[in-house]
Formats: sequence, structure tokens, C-alpha cells
Amino acid sequence: MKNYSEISRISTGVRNLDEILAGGLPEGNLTVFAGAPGSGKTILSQQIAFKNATPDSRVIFFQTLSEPTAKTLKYLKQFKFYDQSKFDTGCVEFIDLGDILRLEGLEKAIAMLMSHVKRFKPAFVVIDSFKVFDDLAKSREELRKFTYEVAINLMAWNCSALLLGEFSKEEVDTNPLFSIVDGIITLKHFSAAGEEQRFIQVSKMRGTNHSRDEHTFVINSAGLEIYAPRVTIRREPNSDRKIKGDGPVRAELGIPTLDALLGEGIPWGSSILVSGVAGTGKTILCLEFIYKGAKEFGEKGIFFSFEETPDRLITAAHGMGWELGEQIKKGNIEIVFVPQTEINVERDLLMMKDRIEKMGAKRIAIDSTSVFVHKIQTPQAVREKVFQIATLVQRAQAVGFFATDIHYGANQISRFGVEETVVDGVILLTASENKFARERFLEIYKLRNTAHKSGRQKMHIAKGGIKLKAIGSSKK
Amino acid sequence: MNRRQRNELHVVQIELWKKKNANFSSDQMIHLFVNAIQAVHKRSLSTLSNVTVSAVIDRTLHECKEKFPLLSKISIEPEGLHFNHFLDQMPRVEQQEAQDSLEYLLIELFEIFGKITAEILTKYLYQELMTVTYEGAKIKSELPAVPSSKSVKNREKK
Repeated sequence: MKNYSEISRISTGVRNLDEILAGGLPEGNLTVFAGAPGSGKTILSQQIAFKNATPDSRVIFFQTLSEPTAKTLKYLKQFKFYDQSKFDTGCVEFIDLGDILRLEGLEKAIAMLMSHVKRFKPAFVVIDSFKVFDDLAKSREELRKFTYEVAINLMAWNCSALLLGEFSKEEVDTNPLFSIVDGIITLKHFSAAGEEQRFIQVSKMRGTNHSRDEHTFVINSAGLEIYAPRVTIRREPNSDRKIKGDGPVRAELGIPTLDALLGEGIPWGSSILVSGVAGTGKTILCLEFIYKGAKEFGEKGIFFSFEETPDRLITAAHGMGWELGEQIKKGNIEIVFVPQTEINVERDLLMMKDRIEKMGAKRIAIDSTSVFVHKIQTPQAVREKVFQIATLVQRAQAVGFFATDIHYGANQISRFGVEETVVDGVILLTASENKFARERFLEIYKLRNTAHKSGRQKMHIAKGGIKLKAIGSSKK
Repeated sequence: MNRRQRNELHVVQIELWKKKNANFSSDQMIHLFVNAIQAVHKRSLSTLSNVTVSAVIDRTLHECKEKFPLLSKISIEPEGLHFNHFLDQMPRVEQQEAQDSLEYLLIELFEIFGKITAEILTKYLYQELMTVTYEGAKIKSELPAVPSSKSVKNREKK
């Protein structure tokens, strides 16, 4: 007999929840979904149940005195996970325990509950809401005994159970239920800066090394969609491309005078911050980087724009003599536009991940990271998000150009003063007035593992692209 | 390990135990199985709570009697399992069927106690099984005699 064995897992069917749980819900676990009314408990339980309901793995929903079953059924139908055939084939059953609870109390309720379990032999039991039993129990002892018996009986029948309740943080700390159950998943929602924000957190789950962070989620027609970039966007330690175990394989940009500065080129997997005040040429440099990659090297490129619409970018490119539209038609370039007002950082990070992976992009431009993360309050959180974007580039073994706006006169090379610490390189764009003309400059401020030329270069933006002219250079 | 593989292990263990008691008649084997189930019940009680053991036995009996209705005469009382009504049926049922039903119940008990304890308890239940002897069965249970298959058939003919 083996000494060690893994508990079987149940896939939740909720995007990224299995990743948060490090593999899904452990089979046979009793899990509480705690949260205020409207926090998404019922939808989450329905989503998991419908995903798993089959003739061999049936589901019973016990409705107590929280929400009339008729209402639950009515609202259930609007979700895509709803499947009428699961009712028709007897895979899902709803049972209202309201009457028996109202008239006969807890002892009869447990007998009734178990008689349905014996008849239906479900793999999954959902009790919505379990909190009602708190209110009906005459004492804490009665509540503890009732909860213990429910837990034991469901365990004996090898049922995985989801117990829903409007439990507050204080109740989680003191209610006897929480010492008996195997898992606690907390859902909460509140409004901040006029936006509704929802969070999910697995604070306890026996049998799995789960994430303990709070993760944002939304509720849409698919049910819950959890964004968990901390869990899903991770660096792959051995994925960097190497030349026979020596140095990194490098990318040539296709911008001759800039390539000349970069020496051997930019290692694949690198992220470069393109930093400068407004009007210094960040967008044009990013566009040229994407366009030349597609045109001259056949490298697919994706441009995430949070400022300019695709039409304006195509027009700007046309003005430079670059037929961006053609490359888009050929499928070599994609422009993804998200208006500033609609940015949801966690959701969009996952969207970027999906789009990059689907396209197989080798060049990634983000215009701009400063706009993308502008709603984030702390430098630590900005650093984390920029690191996650850089991780997307690393995982794709692409090269990323991240435009960032800096304030006029600011004595820093990025908007929030932290972005440069997580990227591999910084290209600093500056401008100064010379009599009546504004002159632009480009400087490779930092590029890890690369012997690049340093010093400011005069930068001209003209038809055909960016051209640099040294005004003083030295080899690092 | 899947259900089928676990089942095979339970069967192997029971076969070993049966081999040890190969000299006994069918009638005696039924008494032995009754005692084996009592022993498994008692051993599980020392590790798990009465509530847990009762819930497991309740489930196991509920499922087993769907396959072997004669097991519905076994009852769970606060002090343990009662086989008297089950054994009262013996004059009217085949000995082999009675033995098969008890063997099936024993396998299911191993399965469910094993499942809820991640198989930690299984080894101890196997060990307990090996200690069950006919002498013990005779002393512990005052059971009515069980007729042989032949006598049942003869009675049916009449």
C-alpha cells in the first residue's frame, strides 16, 4: 500500500479558480462560500454544480429559507452554464427545505436532507443557505451538533458539499461551522471610485496548497470570471532561448540606426521601457518596432493601445510610409484597443496573455503602461503589474516595448518611479528647445546583458522611420 | 488507486481470511462473516466517532440492500449492529446467497471506511478481520442454526 496519496480533485469550471485551488476542489470536501447578499455565492455554486452534474455525479440543491426556489430557478436560466438537459436527465435536482424547517426545526431537517441524499446519491450537495440553521438553532451546542451531523453524514456518502451563507468575518472566526468544514471561500464586493469591485479569497482548503491572495472577479453571462494574474502569469525559469547554453538569442529591431546602438541586439524575452514626456516619439517608436518586425522579419506583432484608436494608429503609420493595414490584413499585426475608461487591469492582463499566446506574437507593444496602470494606488502594486506584463513577454520569448509617460521636469525615468526596476531595459526619449526648434533625443539608458552604446543620440522622425545621429557615444 | 483496484485488494484479504477458515461449513461461514462485520464495526469505533461509524454503516447498508434485499433485516441500534432478524431469514434463503451478501457488505465497509480515512484505517480493519475465528463467533453470538443450501432446496420442492 502506498504511503502517500493525492486527493482527487474536482474541476470547478470557473476560470482560474482551479489554479487558485492548485488543482480544483478536493473531492469530498465541505466548503463554505461566505459573503454578503449579492456577492456571487449562489452563482458560483450553480456554476460549479452544473459543470460537474452528470448521470454518474448528480447534484442536489437544498434551498432553505433564504431565497424562494422559484426565484433561484428564474435567474439561473440567464447564465450560459445553465443546461436544461441536466434537469431532464435527473442530473440536477432542487429541493426546498423551507417548509420542514419552518414547521419542524433542525432535527427533522437533517432527516429529510439525508433521505434525499439516500434516494438521489449525489456527488455534490449545495445548501443555500446554511446560515439559516444558525438562526434556527436554539443554542450554540445545538448548532454545533447539527453541523457536525450534517458534515459526518455527507462525508459518509462521499458528497462534496458547498454550504452557502451570509457569514461575516467575525462569524468565520467564532461560528463552530468553520472549524468543522474543510474549506472557506470568501466573496465580497464594494464600490470604489465609482466602480464595482468584487474579490474572492480561499482562506482555508484542506488537502491543497492553494493561493491565499484576494483575487478580483466579475460576474457575466458565463458566471464568475476570476482574474488571478498572480497565479496564472508566472515566470518560466528555463524558458529563455540560449545559444548552446551560452548567451541569449537576440532580436534585431529593423531600425538600422537603433540596431547599431544595440550591438548584438535585444535578448528575446526582454521588456524595454520606452520612457519620455508627451511628444517625444514613444508611440512612433513602438509602431515602427511592431511594423518592421512584421515587414522585414516576418515576426508577428501585437500592439495594445490604451490611448489611440486603431484607425488613428493606422493613419499615423501611413504618414510614416508604413502600410500597417496591409500587415493587419495578412495577420502579421494585431491592434488591440481598450479605451482608458474601460481598463480593468487584472482582466486586461489575462486578455493580453490570451491574445499574445493565440497569435504567437514575437513583438509586443503597450502604449502606454502608465495609462494602463493609472488607477492603481500604490507603487508596489504598479511594480507588480508591470512585472506581470514583463512576464507575459518572457513567457512568449518575445520582445516587449512598454511606452510610459513621464511628467515634464520630473527627475525620474518612469511615471511611477518603479517600472524600470522590473524591466530589462530602458530607452529614454527626451526633447529640448534649440532656438526655435524642438530637438528630440534617444538614449539607451539600460539594457541587461547587452554591450550597448551609451549616450544621447539625436532622433529624427521622418518618412520611413526613426533615424538617430550620435552626438557623443562610448562603448559600455 | 481506483475503485476496482481497491476492491481487488479487499477481495484478496477476505479470500486469505476465508482460506484460514476453509474447514468450516457454509452455516459456520455465515456466523464467521457476521462476526467479521461486528469486528470491523468495533475496530472502526475505536478510531472514529459513533456518529461517523453509524453514518458509514447506514450508508453501506442502504446501498448493499439494493443488491441483496435480505440485508435490510440488519439493523443499527445505538449499541451496535443487530443480525438476529437477518439470521431468522436463514431457513428461507440460500446459504450461498446469505454468505455472498455478507461478503459484499464487508467489502463495502472496507471501501467506505477506507475512502473517508484516505485508506489509513484499511490496514487495521484487515488486521482485525484476520483475528476473527469461528470459536470467537460461536462464543460472541448466540445465533440460530443456519440450514444448508440442500435443505432449503428440499423445503422449496415440498
